[in-house]
This record gives sequence, C-alpha cells and structure tokens, in this order.
Amino acid sequence: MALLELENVNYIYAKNTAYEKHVLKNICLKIEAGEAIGVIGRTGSGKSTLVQHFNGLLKADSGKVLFDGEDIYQKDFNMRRLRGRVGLVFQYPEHQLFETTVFKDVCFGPANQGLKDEELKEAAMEALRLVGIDEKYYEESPFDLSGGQKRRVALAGVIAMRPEVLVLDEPCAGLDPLGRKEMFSLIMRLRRERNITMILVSHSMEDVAEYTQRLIVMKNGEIAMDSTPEKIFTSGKDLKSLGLAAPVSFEVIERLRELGFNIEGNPITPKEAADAILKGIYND
Amino acid sequence: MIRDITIGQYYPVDSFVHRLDPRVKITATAAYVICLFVFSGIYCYALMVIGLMCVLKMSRVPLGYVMKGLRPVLFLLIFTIIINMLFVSGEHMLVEWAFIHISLEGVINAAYLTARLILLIIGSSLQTFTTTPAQLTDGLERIFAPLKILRLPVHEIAMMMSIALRFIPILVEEADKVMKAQQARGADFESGNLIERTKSLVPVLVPLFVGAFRRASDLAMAMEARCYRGQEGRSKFKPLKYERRDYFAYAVTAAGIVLLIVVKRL
Repeated sequence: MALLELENVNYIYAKNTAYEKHVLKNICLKIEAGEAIGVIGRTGSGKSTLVQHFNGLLKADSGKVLFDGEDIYQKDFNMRRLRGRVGLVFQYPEHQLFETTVFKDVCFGPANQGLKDEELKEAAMEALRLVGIDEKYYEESPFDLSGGQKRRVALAGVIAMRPEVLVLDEPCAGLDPLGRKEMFSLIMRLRRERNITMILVSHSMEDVAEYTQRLIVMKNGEIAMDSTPEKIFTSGKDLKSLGLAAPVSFEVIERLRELGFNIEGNPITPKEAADAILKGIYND
Repeated sequence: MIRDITIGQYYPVDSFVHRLDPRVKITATAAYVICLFVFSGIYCYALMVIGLMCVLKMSRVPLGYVMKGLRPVLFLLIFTIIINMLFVSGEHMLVEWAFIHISLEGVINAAYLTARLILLIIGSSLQTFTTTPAQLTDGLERIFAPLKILRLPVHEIAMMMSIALRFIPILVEEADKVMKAQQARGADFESGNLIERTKSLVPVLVPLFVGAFRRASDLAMAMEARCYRGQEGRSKFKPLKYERRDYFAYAVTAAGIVLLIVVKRL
C-alpha cells in the first residue's frame, strides 16, 4: 500500500469569482515510503498547490487523498496528527519564526503535538543538533541570526515533529552555494538516519538530478511526466516547453558527443558525468 | 476563509462604471453617503436601494461577491439591531416581558439603521470594486488639490492611502501563508475558547508584522531608488480627463438628489 495516494484530485482557486483558476486537474499520484521525489515545473504550474494537499492544508474540490490508506477528508480524521507525520517546509520558512528564543520556536511544533517537559526538550534539542545549530544560540532571538541560520532553525521547527514525510518547497531559495550544500547534506543525513520520505519542489535541475530518484513534472496543473530523472532528461521531449532544461553536466556530455567523443550512458550528476568522460577518454 | 475579505478590493471586469472618471465616482459615493444620512422615510430609502442596485448591475460585479463584504460586519449589524430594539423606547409596545421591552419605534429604528449600514457598506465598496487604487488616489488628489494652498500635503496623503490599499491583498496573502505554515506545525486556529484563540494568533501576527516592516522598508528603498521626492515635478502617466459619460454620470447623480428632495417633500 502506498504511503500517500492522490486520486483524481482537482483544485480550483477562488471559485466563482473573476480570479477563478483551475490549478490542479485530475491529479493521480502514489508515493511509497522512503522515496525521494522531485517536483518540477514552471512557476504557476501548480507545484506548491499540489504539495499543500499532502498534509491537508488545502482541501481538494473533488477527489481523494489517502494517507496510510486512510481518507484524510473523512470526518473525525485527525489532521493535526497528519501534519506531524507529513512535515511541510514552506518557501522562505524563516519568515514564519515568531518566538522570543530559538529554542521556544522549535518547540512550537512538538508542543502542538502534545509533547511536554523532558520529551519536548529532547525533541527540540535533537532537531537543532541535526540542523547544526550550536547550543549557544538556543536562548537567542531567532531574529538576530543570519539568514542561513534562520532557515535551519525554521527547518528544525518542522523536523522536531519527527515527520515520516518531509516536503520541502524550494528549500535553498536565496541561499549562497555553501548554504545550499549544507542544506542538502543535512537533508540527506536526515534521510539516512530516519529513513524519511522526501518530496523536493525545486527549480534547480542539478539539485533534483543529484538528490532524487523520481521526478514529477507539472505543467498547467497536470502531471506531464512521472519517471526517473535520467529518463526525463533523456526523453528527447521538448524540455523547454515544460519549463525545464537538462542539468548542466548533462549538457556538457551532449556537447562532447557532438564534438565526436564517444561517451556511454546517460550521466546526469556532475560525478557521474566526470566518471563517464574519464571512461570515454581511457577507452580512446 | 481569509480571502473572503473583499472590502476595499478592486474587482477586475470592464464596465461602464469601471470606465468612469474616479472623480465622478468619489463625488457620487460621497453624495450617496450624505443622502443616506440626510433623507429618511420608506420612499426615499426605496429610491436609494433601487439606485444602488442599478449601479451595481451596471458595474457587472456579482451580487454575491458584494455580499461577501458584509460578512465581517455581520456582528456589528446584529449588535445594532439588538441594542436598538431593546433600548429605544416608544409608545407602541410590542413585547413586554421581564426586562425586555420592544417597541414598534425601536423595531423601525433598528430597521433603518441596518438598512443605512448595509447601503453604506455596499455603496462605498462599490467605489473600490470599480476603481483601481491608482485611479482612486489620482482622483482624491485632484479633488483635494485646492487644499494645497493651506499647506496640506495632499499628494503625500493620497500616496499613503494608495499604498495602504495596495498592501491589503499582499498582507492578506501573507497572513494566509503564515497561517498555513503554522498549521503545518500543528497550530489550531479554530477551536478553544476566546482566550486560547487569541493566543493562537500570536504565531501569525508576529511574522506578519515583521513581514510588513520588511516590505515597508523595501518599498521605501525602491521609491528612493527611483528618485521619488513627493509631488514636486511629478507628471502623470494617465492624466485624468472628463469624458462625455462622466458629465452624464454627474447629471444622473444630481437628478437622483433632486428626485430624493422631491419625494421627501411629498
């Protein structure tokens, strides 16, 4: 049984007004536990709207969302519990910090789950340790931290709820290259240590190529493609019309092939590309 | 839920009312509001309701959308009705039971006040539904331009107003986003008693204020970068100019007022 399942989900924004827009059209989707999925597509293709259905923040106008086989729209469904199990980190999550100290802010999520005293402290500390925030910052105001630190604190606020699924909406927007790298190594560590299912919404083809095993391509509120990154980037379809471009390393390979080099396989990450190029050179 | 706040928002359709010069609409709205308070009597009110409905029809703004704007003031309306029914004394008593005394005069008074409030809200929101904030500011600036002689910073006030109006949808959207983000962390805004609910708003209000200040300083920076220094030497992209339809609208407004006076005298 799939962990998360969407059946014919439709979502219409601002129904019956001049702003009405059919944002999601008949979305069917199955997500298994432990998967690492990238969601890509142009701005306005419905990516963010889609992921907000995963934890019931938006309610579909028609269709079903099943978590662990349970219909999340049925009466008496415990939404709060669902939101603890499916953690959603919004774009620029640091804009949602509000408490007087870093530690209290991270405690907000687990406290809403009903944790108290020692348990609560433990959950918050564990999360802060995971994201690499030093103990000396615990009692500081989150507003005094640097941009990268703020984001990590915000991420800790979600991780502290110990979610099974972590949905990240552009987690690296506005971060410098080092910050991006740290963010991803952190997310990957989480995946290793807790076997978290990850859903990554991103505009960076390099990131999704490197960190996910399955890509969902959105176009005008529909799923245009759902396959492995390798297959999608080498499908030969007009990637540009989908708002996509192959990762840079893949383009390098293509260019080398045009120049007459013989390179095997379809490497999409820089490391794979480097290996393939080296192999090609030695074979020559 | 939070998007239901429609007061003060522009409704983007093309209609006769939308195309009118903002000065006409401001004048007509002001006249309408004054009339609401000056005239009374069932015939005058019927006339004003009909007038408003005609303009509403012409503006092509759906009635349901306008009614949504009434929802936030529903509480105020109910409060007004109850207070008036209970505390206005009169000769013809309808109900006399324990401490509850409801007189005919009280009921009539409550009905008038409610009608007045509803018409007031619909009338003034019709103005903002059909006028973009930029047009509204332009119009106000021109109407109040004579006050510049008294050293009143008319342009600055108009600019502040238009910025405030422009920021309503942005802040609504931001509030929606912050609420969702906190809900994703298990926040609950819908249950609990009044104190608990008020408390649950802190995680929304703090980021909202922080965000508002951030936006304000960004905006100030952007305005400075484009050399904004108040009205000095500022020209208009679309200068206001009266068209035929605007004179027509003025005439209709005047005719309406005359008609009201006639009906009142009858």
